[in-house]
Amino acid sequence: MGESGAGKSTLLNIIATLDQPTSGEIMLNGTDLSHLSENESSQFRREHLGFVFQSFNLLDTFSNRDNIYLPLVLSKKPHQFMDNKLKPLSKILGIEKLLDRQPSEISGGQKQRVAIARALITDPSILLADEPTGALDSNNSEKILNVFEQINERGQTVLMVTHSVQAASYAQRTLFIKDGKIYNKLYRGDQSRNQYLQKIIDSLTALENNEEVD
Amino acid sequence: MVQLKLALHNLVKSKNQSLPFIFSNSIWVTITYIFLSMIYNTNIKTNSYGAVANYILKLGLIFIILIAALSTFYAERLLSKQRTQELGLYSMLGLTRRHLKQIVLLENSLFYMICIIIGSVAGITFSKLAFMSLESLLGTTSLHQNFTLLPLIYVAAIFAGIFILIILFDFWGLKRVNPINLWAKSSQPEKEPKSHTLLAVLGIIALLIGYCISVMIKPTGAAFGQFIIAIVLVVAGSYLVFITASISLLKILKKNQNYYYKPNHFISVSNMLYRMKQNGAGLASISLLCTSILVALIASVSLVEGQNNLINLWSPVDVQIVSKAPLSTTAKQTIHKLANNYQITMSQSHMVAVTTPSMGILSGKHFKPQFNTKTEYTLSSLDLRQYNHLQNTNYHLKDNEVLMYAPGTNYLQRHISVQGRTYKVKRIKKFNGAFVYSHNIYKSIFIVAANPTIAKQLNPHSYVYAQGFNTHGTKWHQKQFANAVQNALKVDPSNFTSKYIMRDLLKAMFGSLLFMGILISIVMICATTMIVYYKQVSEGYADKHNYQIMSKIGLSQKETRKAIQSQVLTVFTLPIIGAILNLIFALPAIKSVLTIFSMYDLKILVVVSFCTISVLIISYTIIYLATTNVYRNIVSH
Ligand SMILES: Nc1ncnc2c1ncn2[C@@H]1O[C@H](COP(=O)(O)OP(=O)(O)O)[C@@H](O)[C@H]1O
Ligand SMILES: [Mg+2]
Repeated sequence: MGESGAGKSTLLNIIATLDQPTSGEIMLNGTDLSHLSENESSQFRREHLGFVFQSFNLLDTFSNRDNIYLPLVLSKKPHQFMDNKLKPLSKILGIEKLLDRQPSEISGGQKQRVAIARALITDPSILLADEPTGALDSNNSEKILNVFEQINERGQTVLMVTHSVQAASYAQRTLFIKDGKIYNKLYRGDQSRNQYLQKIIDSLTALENNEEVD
Repeated sequence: MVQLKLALHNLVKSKNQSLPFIFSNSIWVTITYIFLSMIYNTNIKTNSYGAVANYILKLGLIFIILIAALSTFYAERLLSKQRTQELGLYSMLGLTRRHLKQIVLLENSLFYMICIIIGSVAGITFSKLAFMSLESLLGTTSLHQNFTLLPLIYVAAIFAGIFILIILFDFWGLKRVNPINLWAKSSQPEKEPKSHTLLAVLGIIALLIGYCISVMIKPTGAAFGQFIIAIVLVVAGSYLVFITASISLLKILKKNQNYYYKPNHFISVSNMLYRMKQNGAGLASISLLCTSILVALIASVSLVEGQNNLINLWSPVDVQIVSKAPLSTTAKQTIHKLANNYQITMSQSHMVAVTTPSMGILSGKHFKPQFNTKTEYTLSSLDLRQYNHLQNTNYHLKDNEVLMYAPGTNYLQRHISVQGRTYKVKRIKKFNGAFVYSHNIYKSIFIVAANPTIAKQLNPHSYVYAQGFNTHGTKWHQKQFANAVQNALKVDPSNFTSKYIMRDLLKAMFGSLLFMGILISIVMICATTMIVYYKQVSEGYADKHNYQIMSKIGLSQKETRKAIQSQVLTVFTLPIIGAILNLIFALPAIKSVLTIFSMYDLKILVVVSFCTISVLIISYTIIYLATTNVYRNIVSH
């Protein structure tokens, strides 16, 4: 997490192979991401990454179901396979009833859950989320964060960018970014969410005080 | 005036929608102007066959006005959807419904004026340029253009009518919804279109009836109304079918999971389905324009190709003189002397006496003498002895048997009934004594009867004498010789036929028709290209966002290209298929028009149609490839 303009999205985009670092390298599962060709990075994104955006980025031209199927269709998976994948996923996300409607017919929170389903259906090595709750009210944000916590417990790695301490407190580990540099890290360990929340707030205060010292 | 300001503001603010609207509408104004100026600003009416040309032009005009009205109407519906949101905002801010009406009125009037000005300027410039270049190319001097205001006034009136309809429709739309709904209406996103079975069936029925009429009617003056009905039905049917059938087709494709869930099809089918209501209308316009290009090209190319046919038909020998009495000896001597002067050798000299052709119509096996707008044929008769002598044949005929020479007609009856008597018919392919009496535009029928008495029974008119011969020499000499003979013998030009004079005559005659055909084709090709181009550009911008999202999820450049190809290919093959289908049903009408000019020849028509379709497909493919590039550049940058 970090303030607006700190470089969170940039880092995420580089991990996502959507952007190139000017220097340094990005390793994921032993693969160097900075030297992939356009084709390879597309394939890499499709097979290893899941994306959740602040603005949902669902396609109006598809039904919710087809939006979720999209990455699998691009990977040329058979229809039956997609169907089997979607069933448990839609149950976890509580979107079974929304599948045959259009994205334009559902609320923001529902859209984001559909978007998460789309990101998870490929069983990505890592789920990248750039301020996924930024456009949602607190009630819907909480639902989304609970989903993240739940899938994380099942073994899904989630890398989420946020500037909300509330959202950050759901994580197992928190990295602080400032001026394009990682500044601090925190591990949740066995702490409760409230304890961890307090720790994050303390750390942020320290960060700001430090600024005054500079 | 605040309403004007708001109207202008709307127009400028939604320029992504309003610019294409102005653009395509101006094209329609331009085309309509060009048709009108051909009808009213040229001397085409007074040319030979001017009546026919006028007839065809007026049908073309109606066709264009219909397409223009429908596509303008459709495009404006989409615009007004966008506008509704703004209007809702204004009404919340306190503008009354009357104010809203004024804004709608002003906005549409602005559109109207802009389109009329752009379209007229383009039309005047284009027709001027086209006339100049085609004149220097074809060298027809028989067709002139002189500028009058009449076409401008008509074009302004026609489009005023279209826009008044649009405004009334908008008013009606305003009446139905209250401000709250107005506000909500355009934020309601486009829903996936429903399939309208009823409309699809209606469209197909309209098409079928239109086709039936066009196949059955004959292009006589009396059938003008029927032609218009056929055109209206085909145009309306095409729009309905394209809009509804394409949606149904896409829905079927979508239902087929094995087809739909393939990367290319997945993206293209859903993209198209999402936009199909707009698409359908655009595709119908493109398809109808392609049809008109095909019809205009095929008709004009057939006209050129058919000229040689016509020359052989009208003058089977190089020189034919028709007169009330056989040529005198002095006349013959004059001819021989002139032949010497012009280094011409003559061969196959002959003379036949035939009864003076009488005009009439053929209904079934009955020939009825008749001279009015329905007249199609002339009939004259001669006896067998003359025919056998002339053609070196050895036919035998009974009293109730005749030979029939009727080039350019497809008379399939085994009998012919003339003047109350019925004869058994045997068709013949050759008759060197054939001529076109007084150079009329009707098809000649020559009947060979067993003896002169029966020949008289067939056609109780006095005899005329056709004397013909072939000439050999240089082209220039042959022409000079023919002219000299005509002058020396003082024969009425209409009863003197020479292949070379005929050729010039035909050139002058069909020059204007050919000119018109080429001009129409060029106009239509330009219009189609621009519409296709604009469609691609506007869709490119509409789809850009979607492709960006998909590329984030993992659609590579190569896959993007494939998906685009699949999408554009489907969208662009449909109109061509539609156009070819339309053409197949328009061919009988083309055939009838060509038959008026005695120019119908199945082989030529088939070859010309085939070539024209191939050329159209090739050019269309080029346009398609070029515009797909434009689309791809927009989408992937
Ligand atoms: N490590 C870095 N070095 C230099 N510039 C950076 C770095 N990280 C980010 N930036 C620049 O900072 C700006 C804001 O970055 P962004 O990632 O959008 O911030 P955030 O998402 O945290 O609000 C961008 O213009 C980006 O190019
Ligand atoms: Mg950001």
